[in-house]
Amino acid sequence: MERLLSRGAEADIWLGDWMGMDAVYKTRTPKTYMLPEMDGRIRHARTAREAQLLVEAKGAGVETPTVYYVDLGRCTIVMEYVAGTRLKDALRAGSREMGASLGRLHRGGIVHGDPTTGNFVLRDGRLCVLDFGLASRSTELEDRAVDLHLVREAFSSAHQDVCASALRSFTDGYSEAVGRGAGEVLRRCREIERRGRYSRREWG
Amino acid sequence: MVLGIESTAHTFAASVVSGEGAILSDVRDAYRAPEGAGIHPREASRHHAEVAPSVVRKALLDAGAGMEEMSAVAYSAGPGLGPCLRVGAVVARALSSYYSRPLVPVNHAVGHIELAALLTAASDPACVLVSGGHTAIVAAAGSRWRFFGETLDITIGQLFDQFGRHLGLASPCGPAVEAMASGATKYLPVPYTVKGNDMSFSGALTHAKRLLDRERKEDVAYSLQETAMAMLCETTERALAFTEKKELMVAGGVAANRRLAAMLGDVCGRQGARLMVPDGKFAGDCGPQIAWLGARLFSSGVSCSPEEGYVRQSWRLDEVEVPWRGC
Repeated sequence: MERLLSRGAEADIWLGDWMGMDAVYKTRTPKTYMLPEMDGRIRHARTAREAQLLVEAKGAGVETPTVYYVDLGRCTIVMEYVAGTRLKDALRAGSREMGASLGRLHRGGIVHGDPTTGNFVLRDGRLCVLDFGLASRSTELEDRAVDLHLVREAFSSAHQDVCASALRSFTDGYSEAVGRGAGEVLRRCREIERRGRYSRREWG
Repeated sequence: MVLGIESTAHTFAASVVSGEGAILSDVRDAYRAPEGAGIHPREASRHHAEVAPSVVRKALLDAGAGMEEMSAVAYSAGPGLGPCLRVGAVVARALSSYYSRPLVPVNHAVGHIELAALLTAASDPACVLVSGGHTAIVAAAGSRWRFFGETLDITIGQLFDQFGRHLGLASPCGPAVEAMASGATKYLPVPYTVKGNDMSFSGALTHAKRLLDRERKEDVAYSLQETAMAMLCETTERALAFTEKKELMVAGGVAANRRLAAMLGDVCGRQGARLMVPDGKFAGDCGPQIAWLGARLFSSGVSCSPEEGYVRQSWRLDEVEVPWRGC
């Protein structure tokens, strides 16, 4: 392994080489503040699930990094290196496609679990979805709606300037990809937000 | 100087704070719930109405100041329990109209955060707000405190309260649960639910209550505390990584939990941030959080007439403009 790309809250991301190709090594390091038995259980389960879902997402028509190798003992996934622009820095251009990608994932029975704008990368005009670390298999309305709630939260906390218009095009893209049933998810999303602490809905 | 009146939940408090942030007085009187019960809003509001005159009088006396010297009267307008909030609002409106002082409605949660910022001298922090009413990670952006993660159902304060009450303790149960946890001998798996930057504690509560049928209560308390705190720490670490803030404050009643402070210290070490914990006596609900935020808001031009002095039981903290937090 050559270069540390990022030290996230969840894992260390290294840029390295795999059989002559640029590759990302994602290693879940121990969370020292947690009890070791809790930490070990969570890291192991998340690594295995993430690797499976990265592959399954492709089947749902969503571009993801290709998995090269999984080392469960070290809680490490070796995968394709995706070079491009993070949606974090280009939300205006990609919010519609972000909605479409999330919609296709949902239709394929996967919820992402962490759909922040840092986890979507524009490469050659196509959007690649990263970080399935908190993803899960689910067709539950509730889980899909939580995904949308997280998108709203990400837009309104880190992208206040373009939040409203980005949300609109995100919703358009999502509704188009999901087709019938999108309205139901959006309604549930509003319900979740009403359920939350001190809901803003009560105040219009 | 600004007089601040706090009455969102169990505590009725009054405080005088100077425009520069000197806390000149801090008087509190808390309603005690009966064993095994929570705060009954009606009973708590009766308590507040009884103690209000003496608490306010003492706050002025301790500060050595009269109402004439107050430039404004601030009160906690929400979020909180309606009957309790209304007692504070009635007192504040009466003082405001009798002494012709402007009234400043204050968001209780923003009060926690801004008081922590005053006491820790943090300049641009993220803040873990953890109490009976809140479990959230917030940071300032675009003149508001914004949520980067929060509970999707109950708060950690409620989690401990409901668990404690199940065991027959009186609210608030946090300190008793922490003490109970120190007698544990083993860890039992408890549902760990993190969704993105958000947390859910209701499943952990249900599971912990069921575990009590067959496990020692010390072990269950310990496992519940460890799991809930780990969830909060994980989401806090993610928020720090995302916002790249270099200061982390802890505010709210649960900030007094020593295990949480130790775990968050570790989180900060991992993310190269500084943990800034205010003096424990200002962690819970108190007058200075209302008086200080009231003073800041008043100097930014916020005030209202007694006729507009409403309460808002569900007032989210991200609706409040805090112009001094810039962009």
